[in-house]
Amino acid sequence: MSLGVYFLAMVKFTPKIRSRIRWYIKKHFPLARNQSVIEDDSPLLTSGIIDSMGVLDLMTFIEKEFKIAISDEDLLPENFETIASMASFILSKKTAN
Amino acid sequence: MDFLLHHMLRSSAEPFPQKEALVHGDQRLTYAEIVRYTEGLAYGLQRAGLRRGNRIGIYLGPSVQQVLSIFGISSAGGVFVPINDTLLPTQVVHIAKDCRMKALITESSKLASLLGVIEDIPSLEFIVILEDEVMPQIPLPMHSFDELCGAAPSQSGRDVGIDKDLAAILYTSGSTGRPKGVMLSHANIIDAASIMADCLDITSDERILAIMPFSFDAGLNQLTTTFQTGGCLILMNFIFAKQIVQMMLKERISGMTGVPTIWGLLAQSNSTLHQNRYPDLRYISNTGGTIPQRVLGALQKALPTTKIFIRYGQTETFLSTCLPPDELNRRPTSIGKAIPNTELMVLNKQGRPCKHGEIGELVHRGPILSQGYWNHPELTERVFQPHPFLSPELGGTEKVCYSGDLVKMDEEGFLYFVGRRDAMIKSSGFRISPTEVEEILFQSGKVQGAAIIGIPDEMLGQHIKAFIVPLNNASINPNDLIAFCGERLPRYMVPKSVEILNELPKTGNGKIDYPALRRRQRL
Repeated sequence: MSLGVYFLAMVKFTPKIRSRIRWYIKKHFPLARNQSVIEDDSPLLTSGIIDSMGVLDLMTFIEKEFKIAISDEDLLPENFETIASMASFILSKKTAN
Repeated sequence: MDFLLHHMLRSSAEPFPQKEALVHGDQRLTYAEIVRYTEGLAYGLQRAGLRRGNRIGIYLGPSVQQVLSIFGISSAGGVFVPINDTLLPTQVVHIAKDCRMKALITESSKLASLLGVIEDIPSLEFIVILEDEVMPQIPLPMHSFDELCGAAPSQSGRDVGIDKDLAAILYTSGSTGRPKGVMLSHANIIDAASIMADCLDITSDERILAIMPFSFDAGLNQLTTTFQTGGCLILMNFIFAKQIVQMMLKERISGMTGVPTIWGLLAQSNSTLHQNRYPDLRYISNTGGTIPQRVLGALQKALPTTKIFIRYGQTETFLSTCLPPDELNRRPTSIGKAIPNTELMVLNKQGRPCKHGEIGELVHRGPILSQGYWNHPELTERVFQPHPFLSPELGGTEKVCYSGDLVKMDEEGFLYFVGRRDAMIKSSGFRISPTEVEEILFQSGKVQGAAIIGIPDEMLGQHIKAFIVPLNNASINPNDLIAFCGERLPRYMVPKSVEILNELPKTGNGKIDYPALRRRQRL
């Protein structure tokens, strides 16, 4: 895939992916709900909003919702630390397929 | 002579002053450094107002400061109260009020979450806070943790207590009501460390990975066992199981203790545990529930040279049994035999010793029996009763602990866990009383009846199912109710499913019939 197509995909899908993840996190993680706004770059793992059991549920959601397979190599805190990093991780998985 | 918790630091620092004692990320502390910081902190806490027997909360994630706080409070003559960092403000306030906490050691983000409720803790006199860029404004004196640690006492602090004094209160749930504080004396904690070191053959060469919080008895015990023997404890925060694997390799970990949920995560078929060899890993030990046999098999395959110890205990008695690794294949479902210097009895409903194979309640006798529940004399009296079989000439003052756990013993004296005598639930190592969750369900204002039970779950041990009777036959969306709980309870206490009923089954005297609910689920 050319850089141009990737860029277009990013512009087109990123906001939608981000809003779906935000919806899921707000719904399932109580600490996130106590904060009025979670920004795209708010830390979610280091802040304790998402814990190690919660991240398993989040990954199941991401796999189903965006139809990607998360492999063990993908399990890096930096891929899941923020909504923005999750969205770019998901997009890179989708465009790689 | 070591009779107070912090004495073990000095005893280990004497032969090994420059030995690595504590690691967290790129922080590495020697025994000499820990002694120095701890003495500074103790002196600083006393100057800030800590007096003998005061309860001081520690609300921090895994960190060097958390460890220094435990020993610093002990050294200053206080009682430390570790608070699990996954708890929400309501639960933190409950603990602080219940133990009449005088001070809280925490960090700014956690303190910020307590703004608005901290005024509900009238006993709280000061806060010790880790340095941060943004400091919340609260109407209480605040002390910087680093400044207190840097305080230089003119001489080593004089001890203000004896080993009968309380060292810690660990909050845990029972079968009813809100979490209760289990009181541990200095002697309890020191004896438990010695017994555990003996069971697991711990030496000063050990490099032990701490993945369990110090608010758990087993997590605290791992810390004290390591420091008592002069080993090194490695702290970590983790999100993915593979971070644990990476840490095991990086720090050449020789031993670790975990709950079944951790082993379940590590043993998953796609886990990186299976891709490496661990020549340094001498032992692993399980506590806090039963490991499914499938997980146990996967661990044995992945760790062929590592000894696997199965342990059983509860906060009230710290630790009761251990199954030696060489017995594991012969009796993989056993929790083992009594630990050294401890006597265990299995008693039937009439209070008489059970025959082999007969199910009865486990009763614990020994030096690590805790001092009971803080400010709950009736409950303490129910659980900690006089030894039933000692001759009356002894005066009947010695107490034993009736655990509420049902077990059976085989002909060779090995014990097997069967279940709970009451409605208490255990999920990913946490004890949950049905009341704590049912109270929240009632707070929704939509239910007239609520009862929760534990459903067996391979990863969590148990997960929670709620049975609900709607108020005035109103329609209730189960997902809304689950979300309502999620906002008010830590994750492990939130029901996974809700079933609507017309009425709850009741016993003859009008109480909720939990066994009937379990039978309904074919449990």
